[in-house]
Amino acid sequence: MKNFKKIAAAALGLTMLVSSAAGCGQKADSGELAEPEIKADKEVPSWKADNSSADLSWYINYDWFAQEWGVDLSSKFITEDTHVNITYMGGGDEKLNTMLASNDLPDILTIGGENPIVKDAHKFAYPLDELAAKYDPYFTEHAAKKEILNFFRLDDGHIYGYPNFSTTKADYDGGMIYGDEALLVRKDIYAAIGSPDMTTPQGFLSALKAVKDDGFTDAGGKEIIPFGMRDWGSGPSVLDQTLENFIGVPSLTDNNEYYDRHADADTLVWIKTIAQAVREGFASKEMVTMQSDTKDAIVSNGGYFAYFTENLNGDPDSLSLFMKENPDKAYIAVEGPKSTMGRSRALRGAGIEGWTQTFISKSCKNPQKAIELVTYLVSEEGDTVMNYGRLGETYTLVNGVPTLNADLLEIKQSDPGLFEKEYGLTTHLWLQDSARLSKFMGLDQFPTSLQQPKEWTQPYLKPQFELSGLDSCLSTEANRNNEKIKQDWVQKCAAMMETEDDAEVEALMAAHLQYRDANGWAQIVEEYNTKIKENIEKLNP
Amino acid sequence: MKLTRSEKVFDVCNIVFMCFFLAIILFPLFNIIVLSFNDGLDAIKGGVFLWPRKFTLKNYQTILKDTTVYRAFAVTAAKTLIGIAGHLFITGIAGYAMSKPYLIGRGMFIKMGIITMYFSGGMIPTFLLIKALGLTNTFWVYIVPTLFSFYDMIILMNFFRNIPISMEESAEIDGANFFQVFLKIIFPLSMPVFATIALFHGVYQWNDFFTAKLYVTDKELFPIQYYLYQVLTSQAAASTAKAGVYVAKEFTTKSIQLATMVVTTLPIILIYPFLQKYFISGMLVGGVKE
Repeated sequence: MKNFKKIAAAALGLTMLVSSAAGCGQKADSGELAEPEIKADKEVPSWKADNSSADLSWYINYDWFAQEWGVDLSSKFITEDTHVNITYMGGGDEKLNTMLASNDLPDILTIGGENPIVKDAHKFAYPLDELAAKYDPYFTEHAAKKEILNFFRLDDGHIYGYPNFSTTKADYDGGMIYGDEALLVRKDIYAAIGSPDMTTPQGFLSALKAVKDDGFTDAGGKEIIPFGMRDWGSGPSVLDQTLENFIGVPSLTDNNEYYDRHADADTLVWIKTIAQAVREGFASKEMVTMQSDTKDAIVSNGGYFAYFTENLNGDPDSLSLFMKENPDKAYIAVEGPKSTMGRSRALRGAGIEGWTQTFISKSCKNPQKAIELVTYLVSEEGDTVMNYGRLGETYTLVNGVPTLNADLLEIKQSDPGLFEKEYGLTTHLWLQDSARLSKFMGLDQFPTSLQQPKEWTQPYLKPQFELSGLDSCLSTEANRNNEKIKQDWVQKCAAMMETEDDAEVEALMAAHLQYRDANGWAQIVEEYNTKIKENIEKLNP
Repeated sequence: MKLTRSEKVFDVCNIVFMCFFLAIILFPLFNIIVLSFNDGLDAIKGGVFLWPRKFTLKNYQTILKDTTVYRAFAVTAAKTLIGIAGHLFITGIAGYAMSKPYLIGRGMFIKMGIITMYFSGGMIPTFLLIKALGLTNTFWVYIVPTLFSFYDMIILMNFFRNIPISMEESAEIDGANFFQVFLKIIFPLSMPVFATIALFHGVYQWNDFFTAKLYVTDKELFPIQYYLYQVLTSQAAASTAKAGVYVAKEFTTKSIQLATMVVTTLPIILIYPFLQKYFISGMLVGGVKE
């Protein structure tokens, strides 16, 4: 019996040793890249000359991602042109982490830009600039946007991830970029109370009071709630940044450092105004705890007179539903809160940091075909095929702007699900240039209910590129403090909505500022400033 | 049997309370079914509680015309049935062996097993193991890792121990070997406990989406619960998409999500009552008297 125990223990130990050795013995970086199959040319993208084909896997780090490649027309065209067939895969952070740990990565990876993993891209991805230099110089020369390449260059001088939905300064200069923040009011009630000026605190409050006193009702016959905002999540809805953008609180100091927007006197004036509106019964008591379903129900019944939102794109269904059933009462954007100190409005538009980043992994079976595909999708030619298909077949040029054939447009609008499955044009998002597409489609890209508000935002947009990625650059300790401070901020904001007088709001604000200082705020600002400086250098090389 | 006044009062109170309690539990489930039959866009307006306002079968049509649902159903049914059979067999024979005090190394096996009940390998080592075994992206990743459960084995082992040894001995006298004793004597006598474990494991297999999430990328092998998971998380898609161009993708409405939930949950709810009888059926009826 004793012997048996010894043998068993030894066997167990040996197994553990072997398995741990197996764990460590992962293959090292593949090292040298294979020689290019064709002669790379700066002026001609390599996919045009390279007729070899490849099957590559492309992982999208979102659980909801369930699209398939090769079923719809758009992906078929892309495969025809590039000879690259894709197997799409979806998944969440757990899957990504396990794949990274086991060194078993798909060929191409798309990860949300805010994911901390993207900072370590050199560990798992090939530098796109190196791949381009070797196989496809057209990528850096022509396909990719210069501003993006500069901005996404990491400290080691290489570019690993290429973003989608990234909007550059040049895109802004070209126009047709729209914002996401607006104060919407029901146009019938607004007209009935005499289209009052809602840009000053007094005007804002007296408009809400007029609505309350006149006893308007919503589509279901319930009394109108004069003021509402988008549901609070981990942040205090519009009170966090949108209000400050509306009243034009600067985002940088004169010498290009982080500007403390929450501590600004003008911010406080307007928070006090909103707190007063809540106090006087102009807003729902549940405003702070309201779930998005409840808010959607109110908006789709026209239950708010004024609805303040920081994400027009986020929930168009309720606005569209109300507009469809009550066209003459629909919500319109009006001039909301303005600075009491003469600053001009500066709405936040899409940023240069974009949405996701796409990488070519070091386990990629065929880096040459992978960079060819990336070049193709990033270039105007490939992007147009992806969004519009083939000229003459699925779209025509009207005044130089691609326009989808009428029958396809009809399907797209009436049955987007079917359109995505059969045609898939504009739905392969991962290297999409949203600014170019937005320019082509103009206001028509939006449902009717969003068109007027979107148009309203346009002149006020002021990109805040300098502030890109501030929170994701923080060190571990600063990040932990930052989370605590954010939590305190949302709690204090919630408390401000339940105050008896202005003095209480001021006291809460002072308490928050004190809380920040006691929790490492100085260090956070210091790290912010470093990042801002870095951003400015990248933006103005 | 005549009830006294106070007993009657108690009964009435009890029934009223239980009905109230049941309503609280059933209402959200009923509401899910109601909303799944309501027009998706109309449901946004709220106020749909006990009966659909705009009745439609469109949500169900949308789900059921998607062929991936059927495939996912087949995968789930197969993994549940094969998973239960394999789990009962492997865990059962292990439990039978461990119920014998004369098994060599029994104490050590028990200790080893207990350690694994408290400490697991963790996600990444487990992933590496599954990968090294070549199970990723195969159907067997649903079955093999769950063949044995130490916890279930303890339950079985304790049950086997209460079966009189003389029944086994009588079979051995008739010339049965260990396997025959297990299959012909132990297994039939232990139906209640096997049924219980089959049900537990069946529910686990039916509900499990995480295995697919980690180890499977082949869409053909996705079980129904992973399909449901994707449908339910798709709402997040709309809010993940940052400002830029307006993404004209169709994001599933809440009504479709709820209809998917009903479709995926219904089968197991229907099966439950039929398995219940095994919980109460007795054991050892007509066994050997000692």
